[in-house]
Amino acid sequence: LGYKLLSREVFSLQPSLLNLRAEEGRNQSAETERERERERERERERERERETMLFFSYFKDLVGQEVTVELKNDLAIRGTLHSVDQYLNIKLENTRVVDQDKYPHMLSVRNCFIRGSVVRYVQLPPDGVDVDLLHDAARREARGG
Amino acid sequence: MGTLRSFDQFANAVLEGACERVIVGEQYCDIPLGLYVIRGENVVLIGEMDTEREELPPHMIRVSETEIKRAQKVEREAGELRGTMRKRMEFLDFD
Repeated sequence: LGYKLLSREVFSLQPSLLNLRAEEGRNQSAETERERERERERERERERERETMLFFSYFKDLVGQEVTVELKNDLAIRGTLHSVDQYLNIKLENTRVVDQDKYPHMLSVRNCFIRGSVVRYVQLPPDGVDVDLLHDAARREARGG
Repeated sequence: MGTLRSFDQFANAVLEGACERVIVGEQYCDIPLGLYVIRGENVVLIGEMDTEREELPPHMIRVSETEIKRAQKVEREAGELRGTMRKRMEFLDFD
């Protein structure tokens, strides 16, 4: 039983700002509206960047552990986590395919690079994860750091 | 398969002496392609092949290109048939 982390971006819901200024809004110029919209966009960009950093940092701490990477094409690969980058591309060492008979393509492959965009799950050993710490960190990120 | 000559931040890659290994069931075929530039968007995995290890299980049979293309077509059609049968079953279930 391993914990599976979704490598998709976690989209956080922006807390809806009670726009009590709706009434006044009509009086305000369109210019400032656009400015505020731009500012909100920038905030969301920073938000998304910070979210990528959380799992990037998390995987950096996991380097050296045995993991199983399940891809979107259903291929599952077991190996030692060698490195990870900002796109969550993964480099595995000592690779072996989980169902070797079904996927004979990679029999001689021992080290591989996996593009982050094709990963569905990264399966970790249950004792390799501090779930509460991760949960807290994720909650903090979602709230805005 | 081939010799990785270069790559970039998008995982675009240049493969020299590239050949496409198509595997259908127990049959396989290597189709030579020459020099390939691959768009990173399509890359799933880049694996380093250990020369000291066997590339394929010993029981696999090497066939010609026409043979493997035919096998691929059969497999694809079987997959599609399974898909349509399933949709018909699911449709019935919703009654």
